[in-house]
Amino acid sequence: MKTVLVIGGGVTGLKSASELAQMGYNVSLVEKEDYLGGQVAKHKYYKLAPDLRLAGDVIDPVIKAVESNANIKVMKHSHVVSVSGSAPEFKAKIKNSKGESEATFGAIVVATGFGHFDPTVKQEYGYGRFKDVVTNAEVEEMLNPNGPTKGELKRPSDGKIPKKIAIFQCVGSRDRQVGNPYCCRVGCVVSTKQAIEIKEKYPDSEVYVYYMDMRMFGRGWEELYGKAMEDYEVIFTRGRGAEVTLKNQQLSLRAEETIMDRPIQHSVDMIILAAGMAAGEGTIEAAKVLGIKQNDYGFLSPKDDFLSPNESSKPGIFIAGADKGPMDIENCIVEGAAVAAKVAGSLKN
Amino acid sequence: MSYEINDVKTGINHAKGMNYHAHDIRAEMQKLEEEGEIKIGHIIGPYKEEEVMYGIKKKVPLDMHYQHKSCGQCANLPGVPRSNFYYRDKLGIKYYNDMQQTSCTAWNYHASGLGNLVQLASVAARNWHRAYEEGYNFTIHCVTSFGNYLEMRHLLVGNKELRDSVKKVLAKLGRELVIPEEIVHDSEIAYALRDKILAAADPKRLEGIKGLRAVEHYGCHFFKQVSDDIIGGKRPIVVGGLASHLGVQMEEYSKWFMCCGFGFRHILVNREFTRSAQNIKLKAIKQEVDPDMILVNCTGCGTTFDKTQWIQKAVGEDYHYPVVFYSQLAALALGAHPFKEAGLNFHVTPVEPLLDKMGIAYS
Amino acid sequence: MSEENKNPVTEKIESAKGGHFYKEIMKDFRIKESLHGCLNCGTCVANCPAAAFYDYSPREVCQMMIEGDEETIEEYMKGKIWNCAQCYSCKYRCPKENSAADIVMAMREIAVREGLAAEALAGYTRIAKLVLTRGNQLAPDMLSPDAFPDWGPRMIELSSKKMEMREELFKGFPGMNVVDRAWAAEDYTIYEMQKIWEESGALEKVGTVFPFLVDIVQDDMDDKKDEMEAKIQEKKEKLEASKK
Repeated sequence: MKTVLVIGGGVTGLKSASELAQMGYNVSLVEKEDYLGGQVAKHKYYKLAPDLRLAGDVIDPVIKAVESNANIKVMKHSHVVSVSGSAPEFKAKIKNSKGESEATFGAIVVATGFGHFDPTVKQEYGYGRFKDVVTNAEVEEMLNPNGPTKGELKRPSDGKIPKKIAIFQCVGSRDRQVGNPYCCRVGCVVSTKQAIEIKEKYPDSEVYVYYMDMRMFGRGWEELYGKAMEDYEVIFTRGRGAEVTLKNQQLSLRAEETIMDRPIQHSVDMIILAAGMAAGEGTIEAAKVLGIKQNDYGFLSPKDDFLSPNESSKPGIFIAGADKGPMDIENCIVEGAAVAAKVAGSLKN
Repeated sequence: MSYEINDVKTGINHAKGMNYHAHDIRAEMQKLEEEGEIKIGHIIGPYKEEEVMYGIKKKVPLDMHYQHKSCGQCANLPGVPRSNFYYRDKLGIKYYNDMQQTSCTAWNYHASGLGNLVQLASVAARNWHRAYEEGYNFTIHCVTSFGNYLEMRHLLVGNKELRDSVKKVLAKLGRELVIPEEIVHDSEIAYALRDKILAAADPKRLEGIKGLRAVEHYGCHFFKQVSDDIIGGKRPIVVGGLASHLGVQMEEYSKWFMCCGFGFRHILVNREFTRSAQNIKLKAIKQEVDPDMILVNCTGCGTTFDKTQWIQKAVGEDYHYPVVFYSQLAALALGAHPFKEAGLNFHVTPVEPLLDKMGIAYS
Repeated sequence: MSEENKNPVTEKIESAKGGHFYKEIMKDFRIKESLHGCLNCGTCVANCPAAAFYDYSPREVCQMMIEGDEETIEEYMKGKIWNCAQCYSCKYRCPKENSAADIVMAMREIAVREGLAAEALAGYTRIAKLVLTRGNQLAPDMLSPDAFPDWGPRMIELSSKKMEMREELFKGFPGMNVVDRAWAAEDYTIYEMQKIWEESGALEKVGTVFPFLVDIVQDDMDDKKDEMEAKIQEKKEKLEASKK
């Protein structure tokens, strides 16, 4: 029975590993961090949209399914250094703190996921300059009771709870200036979810979402948007956050209220940047090591977007999840299952 | 609630890794030269490579400088061209002060719409040709000229029709189309020469400069009109970079990006606009930094900052921040007389308190 | 369509694309690289200093061009385009890499050409004259305290002492110590500048706003014509010889 190499221990890699193991394959799962769970674990996701379901309810069973399966060898704190050969015999060198090992695999699944766009590059937002400009991911960590602020939303500058919060959509997405014209897909739903969480915890706070479009196409997303507006009185302003400055020493933003056709200046206590999904470091490295095709933005290209969505440009190497492009968790799990089926099919002969 | 800002240190901070976007106009120019479409005025003598956006290298010529003067500086802030000559004299850099140079006419163009692209590009090409036929590297004093010449280069390289029209006009003058290998502003040159300026500086002057606090302001046409060929990348660094090299403590204010309000036409015919824009800038500068001086590299901005502080009294606000150009600072560091050689006496906002702080005599 | 049957909606649709100003603006080759669709995000307006103080919107500039909204275009051509400070903040931050500032520049050129700029250029005569008769566009003696009383009382002192101050400053730098122009550009240079304006059609455009100026320039050129054309001829021959 051939062994499958799964690169990436996030939700997609975990799902594909456990599906493959259930089908009877041996799996080696290589994960560069010393924990499993990918971004969900890294940024301590607390509640998932649209149902505000605990992230633990979703990720823990997936991790458990892998850790408890004897057919899956989990290698944490490891990464793939080089790959040679071709399907169905790949030779991969895997390195970790203990040294280097080599093994043979029948197929490779690349599930290296995404990274967040680094908003430092958008200098007009003052990320890294103004302490109280933070990202969705940082807020996610703060909202988790097991996180760095024990579940309280705190201003990094003085530790106080912000009263007026603005959320900027499309940071690092839909933006030719930084080379990312694509839509990050999940920014709208994540910001809406966080806006609700903040209003629920701090009913006296004012939360404003600065957007161009609210893209709520997923399951229950549009309903969540309605809930935010109606039940929680989150204020959605149609205008892209354009600049963060100070006014009389207070954090202040500039935008245009495009419905009313006027520029506005709005002083707030905290600004949350919906920094979108970009090709992660692991994905860029995997593409180099494996020599598989990437698209213009660094994500991995499928052999055919419609007809072979989980095959890479090289036979025997498969791709799944957010390393292909922005993707929400529900779809990542589906991708994990889909790629497992594809791998199994390819190894049957 | 009081506010905390992490200071941004002066340094290269452009968008790295976004290479999907990067295209280098120099490659296109070379292709055109090979096809015989244009001539390139290749750099003469030594040069230094500095990084612009996407990590692309710009060659800054270090000698044989054609001095493309600024109308506004010569008329209104003559200390600046004088300082530009001064620091070159001190460093032994050869330069050519052409009396056959015309205005780039870009200020007029942007203010009035008089003129057209063929005229603008032909004027540019004629001045470029002057540097070429005299055997000098084209260097530019004025930020409006700089932005204009970057734009003209971009349009000429990208548009055969415009090239042909301009060549026709140039032929009537007995000239041909020569595009300089690099379009460089004088503040980029001073930045590239920062080590040499520091080395040649007067130690007593450096003592006086050390620890002065300043904010910087860049002309809009320096970095916003064409953004991908400026030293420092998307956020320019040349003024603060030179100043901090000489010992000035550069500080950040939240309105650094905002236009000074010059407006090309507004400062003449719509002055409430200029005053209002200045009000916002000066207020932020005062509230957040309250510096010893405002450092600039642009004719229009220097004029605006220098001349629009007094009128703020009309709205009950009091500002007297000395406005100093990057090259005047360099000249002072090299030992220039602040009035007879750096021309700071031409500034309306008093510079004497600053000179006192620096321990420089001026009587 | 008869007067009674004219429907405001139909009228708008009929003039929606292809009005006179719209067509003229679209002829300018800069438009193609200055307009790539618009997200209506408002980043340009938020960054625009003119939008902060005037009823002016760079977003509206792009939108009216995308929609071919001749009515709004005309409104802009007849006055609003002169609010733009040409700072290019819009271009620098637009996520679609549009450039409202360049579209405004194309519009300003057309406004001049079509005789719509007389009011906007009312204060402009002197600069236009300087450019075309001195080769550069400012002069120390322009900046008098009468013209700029809001620049402060020190202007009075500067203005009265400027000749001696300049003489001291520019000792050893010939051509720089002048007060009626920025630097003493040679007559030959001024002729070349005038010739460029003539050959490029720009001088003709100036005539729509300042007809007398065209006469001044042409007289100026005629006075020097023989001498300057001889110099140019020499240059042309030298250029030809160098090509061989």
